[in-house]
Amino acid sequence: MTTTTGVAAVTGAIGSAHTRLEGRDKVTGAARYAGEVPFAELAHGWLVLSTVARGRIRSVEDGAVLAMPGVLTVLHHKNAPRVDTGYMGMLGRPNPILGIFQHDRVPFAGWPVALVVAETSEQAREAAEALVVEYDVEPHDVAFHNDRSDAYTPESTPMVQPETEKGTSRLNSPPPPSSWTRSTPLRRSTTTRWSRMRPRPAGTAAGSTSSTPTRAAAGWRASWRSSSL
Amino acid sequence: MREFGYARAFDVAGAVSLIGSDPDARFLGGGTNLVDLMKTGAERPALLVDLRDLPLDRIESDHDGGLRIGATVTNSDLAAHPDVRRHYPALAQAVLAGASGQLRNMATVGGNLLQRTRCGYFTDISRPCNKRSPGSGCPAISGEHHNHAILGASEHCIATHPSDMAVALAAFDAVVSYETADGPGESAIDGFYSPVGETPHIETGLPPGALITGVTLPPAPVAALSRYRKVRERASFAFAIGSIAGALDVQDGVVREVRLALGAVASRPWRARTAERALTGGPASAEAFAAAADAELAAAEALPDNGYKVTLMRNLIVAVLTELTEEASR
Repeated sequence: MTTTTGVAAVTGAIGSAHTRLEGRDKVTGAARYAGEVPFAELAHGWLVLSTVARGRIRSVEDGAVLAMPGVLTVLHHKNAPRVDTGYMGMLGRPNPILGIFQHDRVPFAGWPVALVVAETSEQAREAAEALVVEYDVEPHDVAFHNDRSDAYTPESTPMVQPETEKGTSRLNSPPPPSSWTRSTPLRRSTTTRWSRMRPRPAGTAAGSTSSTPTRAAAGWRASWRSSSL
Repeated sequence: MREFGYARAFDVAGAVSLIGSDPDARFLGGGTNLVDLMKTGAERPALLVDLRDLPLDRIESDHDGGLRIGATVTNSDLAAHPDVRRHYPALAQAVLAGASGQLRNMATVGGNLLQRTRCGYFTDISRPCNKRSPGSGCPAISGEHHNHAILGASEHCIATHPSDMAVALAAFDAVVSYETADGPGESAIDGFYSPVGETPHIETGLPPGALITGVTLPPAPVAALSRYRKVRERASFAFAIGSIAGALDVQDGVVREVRLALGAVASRPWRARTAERALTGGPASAEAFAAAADAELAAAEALPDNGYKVTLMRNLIVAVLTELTEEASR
């Protein structure tokens, strides 16, 4: 069934209404997303994202996950194919830190640290959420404060000229004093780990490890033919 | 996502019976908050009892001017009801200020009252959160808290209640009715939400397994001249950084009755009784409005990044009362 919107003009494409061939499918929910197109022997991936803002990956404990139903592989910095970053691109040389699964450095929270590949998307997600990763956590510094000593005016920026006038923000105004302490920090021990399903492994010093259950895998997935792995 | 059971209830007794005393069972209204939390893992219910078929989707007008609103009335139907718009305009405005058209078509009054905070640490299960995991700590106090509470919070939790509707209900002395296996009960909205204290994970005084059946609005002639104003970081489909429901009865320049409730500043809709007392019987002047706002906000406790809310709420109180005074003189 097709539906015409508006009144058709006498001639010509400009100014006349056109029926979108896929319109009905889209507004009725029948249209498929790319990820919903079926293929034979399709494997599904689910990313495991860093739960710490800065640090290094100490270990990816993939053994138990590999034994879970449908899991085909777990890709991470120890086993992923190497990516060549030694070339000159349009904006210069690529920053090797941004090579995914190429090193143990975590540059920001949500950085992909592993990809779990399984026969179904649900299996991949379940396994991704069960994967235990240990980090050596380093302090991060992300807040803007007007009184910080390392703020500077950039001399130049790529493509656009910066506006360098110093303004004020709401962060300038000190708040009224609070009666409670502000000293409840994010867990920032030397090592953090997360695990939903597994207890702390034997031999881990309790003092240096905090156990933080987490959503291991944020909503990102990939699908491709298993033959390409 | 954890696998869960799903059951549909067709009457109140059946819903209460299905939920039983299972602490891992949840009532499902429109699902516009609970299902999101299930996706992040912040909620992991074993059983959902769907309430969409309960006969609680009506709004009845009492002959004395009050309203009885069923728990499964959708936000859209609530905001569109002629008696709501006529007698409690701030309530209709509050509901329409929230979410989007699609969400308002799904979301229900009962679910709206029980929706959870949008504090990012609550929904992110990789973080400690005293509300989600009692005793684990509150990262918001030293972390991201620009939209957290300035009133009634504690060192254990500074999350806000996200509802717009509940702010208007607080201004109009709503009474929440519920049903349990042991019989019905009700709670004035003032006492419906529990103080934060050391137990931020206990959000209401509802008995375990209780089903909200509806909300009663007592007659409130003052509510006919009322408005809801919401400040947010973008013009639509955003939670408030500060909001206010105000109603005013002013005659000959004197405040005869005033209602004020504040949103996005506390773990519950914040009825501004200190300001109301300061204003009642006094002049309807900008100076009096500012003094009343200052009296209410004297109890505010801000953190480094949410101190702006004190100024914001002061200005909102003055602005809305000024607008209502001008409207009353027309």
